[in-house]
Amino acid sequence: MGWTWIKKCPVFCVLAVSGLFFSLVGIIGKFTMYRGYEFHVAKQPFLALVMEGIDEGVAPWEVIGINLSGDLIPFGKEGKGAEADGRGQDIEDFIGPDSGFAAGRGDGSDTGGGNISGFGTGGGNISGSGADGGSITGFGTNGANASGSGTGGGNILGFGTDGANTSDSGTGGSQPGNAGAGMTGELAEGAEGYGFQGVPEEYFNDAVFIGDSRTVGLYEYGGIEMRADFFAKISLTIYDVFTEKVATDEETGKKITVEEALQKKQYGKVYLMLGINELGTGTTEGFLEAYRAVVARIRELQPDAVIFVEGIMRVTGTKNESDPIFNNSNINEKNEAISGLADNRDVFYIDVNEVVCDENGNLNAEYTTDEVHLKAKYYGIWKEFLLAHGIIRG
Amino acid sequence: MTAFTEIGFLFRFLPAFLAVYYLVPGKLRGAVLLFGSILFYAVGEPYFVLLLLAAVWLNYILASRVWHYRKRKRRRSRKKCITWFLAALTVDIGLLAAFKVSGAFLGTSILPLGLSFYLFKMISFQADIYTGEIEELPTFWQAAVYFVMFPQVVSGPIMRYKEGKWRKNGREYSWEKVEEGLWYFVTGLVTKVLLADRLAILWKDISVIGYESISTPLAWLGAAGYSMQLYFDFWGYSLMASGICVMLGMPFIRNFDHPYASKSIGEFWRRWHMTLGSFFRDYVYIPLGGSREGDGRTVRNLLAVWLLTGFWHGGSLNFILWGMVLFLLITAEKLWFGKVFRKFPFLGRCYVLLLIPVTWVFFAVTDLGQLGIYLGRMFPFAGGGIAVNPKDVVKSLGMYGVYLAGGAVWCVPAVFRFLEKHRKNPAAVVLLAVLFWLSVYCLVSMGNNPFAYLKF
Repeated sequence: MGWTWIKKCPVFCVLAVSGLFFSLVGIIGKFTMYRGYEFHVAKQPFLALVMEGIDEGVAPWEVIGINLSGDLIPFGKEGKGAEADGRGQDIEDFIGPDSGFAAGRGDGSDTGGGNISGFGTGGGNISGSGADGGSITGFGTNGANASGSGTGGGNILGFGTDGANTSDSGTGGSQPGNAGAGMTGELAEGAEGYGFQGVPEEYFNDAVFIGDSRTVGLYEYGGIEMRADFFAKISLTIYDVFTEKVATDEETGKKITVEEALQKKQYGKVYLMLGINELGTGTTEGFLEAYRAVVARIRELQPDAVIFVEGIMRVTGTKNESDPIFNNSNINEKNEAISGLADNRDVFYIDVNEVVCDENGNLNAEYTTDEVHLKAKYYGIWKEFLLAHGIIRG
Repeated sequence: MTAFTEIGFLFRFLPAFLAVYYLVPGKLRGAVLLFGSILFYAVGEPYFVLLLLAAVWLNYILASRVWHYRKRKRRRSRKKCITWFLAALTVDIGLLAAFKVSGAFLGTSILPLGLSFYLFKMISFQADIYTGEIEELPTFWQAAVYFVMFPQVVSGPIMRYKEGKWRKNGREYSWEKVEEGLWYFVTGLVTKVLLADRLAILWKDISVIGYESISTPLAWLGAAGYSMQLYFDFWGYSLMASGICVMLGMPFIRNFDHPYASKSIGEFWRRWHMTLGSFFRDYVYIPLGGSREGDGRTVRNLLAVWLLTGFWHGGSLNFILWGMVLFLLITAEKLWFGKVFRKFPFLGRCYVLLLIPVTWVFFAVTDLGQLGIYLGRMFPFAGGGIAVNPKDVVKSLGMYGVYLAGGAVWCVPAVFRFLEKHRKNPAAVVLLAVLFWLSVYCLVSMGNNPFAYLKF
């Protein structure tokens, strides 16, 4: 009897035995190695835990080494977060005093209408002024006796840059603001600030772009892949941007990490857009710390590069309303945090949402089929935006 | 739970159902199947289950009237028989049309689960009663089991009442049958999860790029990928459905016969979704006269079949266009160049493999403007293409080449037959078990965490 019965239905037996094994691992693991997992007995069988565990890097046989004191912490999102936080603290020493991304805010002079605000940054006698029209923001930056001014209409950001003699990006009158009034952070002495200006495509010749799938799209369809380097990969996050092998060694052709690649070659500009994949995990504070650490590390590896931190591109209105995680209020919160990293001296915040969003601030539905990524033919808009927001120093 | 690929179905409903089914005495198994099926359907459609039960009841009442009057020889009875039969058809076709039309015109897409499949079973049942194909009127319970049995209620196959020995007296219960059915079921699951669901991402990628920006090679690769995706999805599902039936002791209902190995488009459609094709053949084409009444009638009958096939698949215009393209191709084959392919089978194979993917593009792209753009990229005679990255096909091949190559192999009939024949070989058993758990892993990691599917 016994054996002939099994011979008749080998697939049934193998699946039944392995199914029982996985279920058993799931049940035991539920109290040990899978303890932190979200699990609903009513909805899922126990063996689903085993599959989830494999997804998180926990092999089913680890159940044999069960440790009832609970030292087996699932390695995964929390683990990663902690790691990144740790790094953030390390590097903070470096970023803090040195670059002082928060600078003095000058009271902008109001020479026109509406919502003007002027920011004066840098040391000494800075004066920032915004002028004219709707919701202008004038950034007056730099050291000594300089005064910057921004002017324009509509939703323009006017950036006054560099000393009394220059007025490349901003035009119009300048009035002294109260330098450094009540802002956090140390003021780097003699710091210089710069404003955005239009640049030719050659500008990208010494640029590198780091990012997730959106940046992959820019690489494939933006028309700048011949000029710039791209270290981009689908689902790249701020937590694994230095550990994932997304760059290629130009000599050996081997895959290397971004960190290694940045050690091998010096760039004039580093563009960074990350953050949408992180929306479901961790807090904005943790994200910001990780981001700050990444920027600091890039600063260290690329001392002469202009670093552009790009605001995360938003999603469409329908996705914004339906998705509890990948929505624009979450994106805006992260963007606000990222924008705080800019010092307008060597780290600059740019936000492509200015040109790809509709009047409600959602990604223009015409530009996308999946509500998240630009269609190929619209990457040109992003490129033009980058060309209009070049920074030229010195 | 109403999809066979749901974890809850795989590891809860199905094992529990099988256990109960085989533990109760033989004569109660019909009842277990009936109530299990109603439970299965009610979980997915708590309200429309009432519609299903009402349709079952009404169809049985009407069918018994038809059967009753058909038995009598008097002319008045004959008339009554026709009247009741037409009433039954009106109910079934009316229900189907009402939901499909309201979906197409009102934009509300409330289509009860499996409606087109169980109504087609009911229509065939009525027609078979009317023509005398079913000689004895089944009991209500038998008919109800036939209409609602859970392996077939959601997506077919559209089994005929007289097809094989599925009724309780003919069922064969053995470990052999369980094993055989399980093999088909698992093979279908693997086909669907590891091939169809992977290839679906390629098709999605292409739409994300935007059809106007894909290179011509990628447009063809996408069409090929979609052709396989659709096949593996539906064939896989059909294998799972028929596999369950075999596990329950019923015969295997064949719905696909390796269609991509066909040598003409007509043959392809005799080997693709066979239960639907034979439905239209037996209940539309042949009653209209088939191909026996001259070329003019043949063409008319083919047109009727393909218009209906188009409508059945969806209300939007592209499905009608799709049906018309197939109508034209099949008519041309029938009247003119079919002979060529019979003489030169290799030519026929190439013709099928080139043209079928094009027809699937009509099926896949529901927006006519977008359809035009996609076809324009496949056949770029007028130039066109905006922001095309000529290397896009290299990237897609890198990402999906494995699945495309695996899929191409899996389309070869001999490969399937070889594995089917050697399914008890230890290596084959281990391979299938590994693939099964790999599929389960994919299902869980995507089901629990939809973001794994949506990485940006």
